[in-house]
Amino acid sequence: MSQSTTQSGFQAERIDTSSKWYDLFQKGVELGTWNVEKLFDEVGFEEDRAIWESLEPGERKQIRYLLSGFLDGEFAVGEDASHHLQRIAGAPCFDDNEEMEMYMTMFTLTEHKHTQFLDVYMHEVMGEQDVFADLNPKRGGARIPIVQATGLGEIFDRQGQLTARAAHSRDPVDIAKALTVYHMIVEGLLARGGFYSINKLSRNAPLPLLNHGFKFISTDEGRHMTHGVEALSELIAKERAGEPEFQGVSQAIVDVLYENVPAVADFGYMFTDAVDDPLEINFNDLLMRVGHLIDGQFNEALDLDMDHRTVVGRVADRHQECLERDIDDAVRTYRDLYQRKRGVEAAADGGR
Amino acid sequence: MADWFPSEEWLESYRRNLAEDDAYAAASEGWGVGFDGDFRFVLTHLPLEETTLGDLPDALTAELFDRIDALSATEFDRLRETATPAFDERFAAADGDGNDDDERVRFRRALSTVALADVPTVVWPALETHIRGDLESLLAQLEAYVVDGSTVYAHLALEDGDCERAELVADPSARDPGFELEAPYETWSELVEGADVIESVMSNEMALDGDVTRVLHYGDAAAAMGDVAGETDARHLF
Repeated sequence: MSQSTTQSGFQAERIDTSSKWYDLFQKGVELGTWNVEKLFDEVGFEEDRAIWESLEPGERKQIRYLLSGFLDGEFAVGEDASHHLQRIAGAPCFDDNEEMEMYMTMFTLTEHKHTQFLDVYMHEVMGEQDVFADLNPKRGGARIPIVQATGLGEIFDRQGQLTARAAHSRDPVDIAKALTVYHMIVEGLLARGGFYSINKLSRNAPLPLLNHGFKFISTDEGRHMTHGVEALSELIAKERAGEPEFQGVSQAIVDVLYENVPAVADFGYMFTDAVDDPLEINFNDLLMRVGHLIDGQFNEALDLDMDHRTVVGRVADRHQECLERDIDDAVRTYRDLYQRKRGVEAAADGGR
Repeated sequence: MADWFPSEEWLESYRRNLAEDDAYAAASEGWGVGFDGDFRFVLTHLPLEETTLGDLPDALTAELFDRIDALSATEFDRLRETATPAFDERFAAADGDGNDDDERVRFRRALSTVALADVPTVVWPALETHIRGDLESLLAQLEAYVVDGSTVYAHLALEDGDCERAELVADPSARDPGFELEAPYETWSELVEGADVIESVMSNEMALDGDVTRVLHYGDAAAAMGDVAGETDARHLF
């Protein structure tokens, strides 16, 4: 088979070392194997705990909200990568791409490491209040109250549905939908919007361990995005080449964008004036950042005919719904519900 | 003169069209009520260094060159004698092939090489008397409103579906409108040709400053503003 040469000069027989997925795999080996526990040992929790304690309650709440979205999000993508993306990578439409399947092992590993980092960090630095470990979705529970209250949990549910369906059918159009919601919306818009927010909040709340961890996480996610764009581009190329079973791929990608892009408003609502923005993340800046990402990913990277006005209209409609919602009341409702499920009387502050 | 872009006359045509546009009126109802809805348009990178008088459309410069051709020998000599040193240099350099061309041909050639950015220092009063009509007006606007060599600011007063005023602004620091839309001239030019303003902002070709959330909720109004720009007749200067 392949006799190609790697950057290091190695050749292989079964593996195509010139494949872009081999390159991603190798980059993952080099860069993605950062050790979460080692990072905790090297940087330590002490400084983050001290800064955390010095923050105002509103500032703490905003960071907790943001990290809660990340924790539930990383948990969801880790689960769907383990159960569904590995099978999708082996689908016939990707032509028995051994290198893509190799890369998916790295991919899945890093997603679980992100969960590991966030879960431990939140527990060790921020306490137990919002984690609700015994009620996590894997154990039949629900998501963190703020994630449910903003509606952000809906897109993680949708991601689970679409990746499960694609893993089962292995149909190119189903796969396009699954990869779009996973890589382009959840990773491409929400996570990257989240990195932007983490960067901004670090000016007012310079948590060194958190920033270290997120540098690694965002580097990992950069490779994930590359994989998503490459995989979708391959499906689009086959559709444009006229292969019958790929027809409908481009429209499916655009449809999934329109369906799920309102999640940007759910996510961003944590940073609006309506819920205060003590760390000055600024919803306006976040919206512009995400707008640029949408255009970059769908128009430029995938060369699709996306209607920008439809996207803006969908996000505006959802934002209006968010404005009409009492988020604090919704969070309290979910917390009370969870406490009842756990057989604990609701505490005055809604926590443990 | 109405449709040279950019110009205060084009801006006024745009204002009038915007005020009469039903789609804009419906979509922008309530805009600017209780908040500052005024917009500042910032056109950067006007190619004034790169564009010469000879690069301008013939419709703008033909009359000037005709007037020079129509001068008597005495009138032409008088015009030459009063030229600025900066023009004399260009005149000397205009004899490209070393042949002693007709002086008026050299004069026209030299005049054609004057960059718009250099017009104020190269052109002299006697020549100015021959610059009339649209060209005179446009050169005066460039001199009055270009800031930092290549940027022009326009202010639009927008409130509750109407555009009451639209004007070029010589001193942008004198006003602080609620919103600002900034882009290079080339991007504005594409907008006037029909490009989508929402796409231009999302693709980062245009920078929107202000309460983005408000613009989000008035997305149809923003789109209509772009559409009306595309529908307003324009002849491009550059």
